[in-house]
Amino acid sequence: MTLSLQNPNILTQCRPFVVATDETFEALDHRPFGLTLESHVHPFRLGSAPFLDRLKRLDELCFGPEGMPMPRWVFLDGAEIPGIIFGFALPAEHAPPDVHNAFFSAPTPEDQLPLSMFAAIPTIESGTWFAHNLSSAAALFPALKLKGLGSLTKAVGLKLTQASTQMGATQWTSRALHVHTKLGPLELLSAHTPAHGEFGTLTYRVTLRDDGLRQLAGAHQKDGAALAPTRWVRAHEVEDHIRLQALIEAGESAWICGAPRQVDGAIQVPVHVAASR
Amino acid sequence: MGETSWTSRCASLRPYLIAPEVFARALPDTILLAERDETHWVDPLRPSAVPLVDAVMALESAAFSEERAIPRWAMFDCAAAPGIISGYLGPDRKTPLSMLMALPTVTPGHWVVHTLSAAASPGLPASTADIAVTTIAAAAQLLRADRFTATPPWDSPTLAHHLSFAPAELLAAYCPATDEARTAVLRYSVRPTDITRGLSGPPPAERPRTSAGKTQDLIALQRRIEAGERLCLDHSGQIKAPPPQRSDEARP
Repeated sequence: MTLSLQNPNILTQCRPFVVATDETFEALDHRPFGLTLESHVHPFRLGSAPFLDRLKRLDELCFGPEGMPMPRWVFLDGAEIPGIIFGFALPAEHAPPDVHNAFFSAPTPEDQLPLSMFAAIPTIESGTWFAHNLSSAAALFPALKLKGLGSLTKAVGLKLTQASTQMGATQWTSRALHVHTKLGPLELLSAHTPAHGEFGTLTYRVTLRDDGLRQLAGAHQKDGAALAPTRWVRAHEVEDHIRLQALIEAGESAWICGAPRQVDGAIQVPVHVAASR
Repeated sequence: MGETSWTSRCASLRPYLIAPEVFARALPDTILLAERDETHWVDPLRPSAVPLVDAVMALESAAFSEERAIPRWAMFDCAAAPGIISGYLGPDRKTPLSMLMALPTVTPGHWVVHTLSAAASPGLPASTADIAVTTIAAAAQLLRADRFTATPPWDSPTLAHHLSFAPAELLAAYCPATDEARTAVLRYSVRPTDITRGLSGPPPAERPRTSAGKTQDLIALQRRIEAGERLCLDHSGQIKAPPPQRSDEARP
């Protein structure tokens, strides 16, 4: 089944790639949504080094200002060996000067400049993958008109893994919640997670279905039935996080049931809480 | 030296486990040296995990350079939440003496061990090597693992600890994808017979002898691997042809 995107410009300009060991690659869906995986980058090969350098640079471009860039060894040990890095890359011969400048690159015409990446790894529970990095340079290069690149990257990356459930950690204040909630209601596993170290971290899991993945990808979809919020969590108020965490630890179920909203400049997140499981 | 002497030297150490309780049913009931009830298990998704996670991060900071130290968010996202952190607590039952971070792969039984550190404690009979090797053995049993992949730098003492169980296939000899390109990627068996052998053998040398000391030698080895040659490291760190491949093993 192919994708019909609201922004077809992404697939016209960019090519999908995946970084994975052969063992992992064999377990992937090689035709996610009908796309052809044109580039399989092996993390151990000497010849992969220039492309992996550019992935590190993409991470710096996207996360450096927020203080959460990945050390190079975490790319290898925490993504490329146990799981995957999937993304879209622009052929160097089609890249404008500002993209070349951002990557400090003077690549050969056959080289690829990665503009997005999604890192995911298997978990202890079979069928559940943990997503820990989603980067998109679309906003850095507006002239390329790649709106929706991050969402599409996550959707195709998840389809690639053939996972039935995705787990992740993010912050209540993160704009990424607008992306993640396109998959459907996010079951909160924790609402206050100080072990993570970043203020306001929550952890979630979501059941993956094709309609949710297609909606995330930016394909035209009708909205399905949604859970109604029973409360709005103030993203910057740790008291709200702690209160919700207490409910979860008491056995109640909680879902983020939609995208955040802005009220008087403050972020509020819709949450549905149900009686004990 | 038999298994009994290894376990007796570590007997006063209490195992700990950091892993989400939502995955509890996927873990077996026992771990080496202790039943699950005797294990100090904390759920990283709960605020109550913070004291042990703080202590683990302190051990991590002491063991690794700033460049190699794991950021706290990565410890959570790339170990505690999807996989496990396990090790042993010291006599005070609070301070970790060892730490192993492991992630599952797409292949059941095959795990990536990406961080291993241990520190002997004054007054304890167990050496750093005793604790490190026993920590690997305990994790293998906890996870019902049959293979570990590890990425020790060639000059790291942990290389010897990983080589204590079985000949390790050398998947990469020079790895520019990581911060220290002079890193080996090893895959070795941790089946019950290998664990018994590892715990029964002599303590590992702190630094295995290897003929692959110079960077150009490591790059040459890497080119041989990329050309399809299979190489392995034995207990002493010597590079040899691998033993016959088991029928259920596949190249990564």
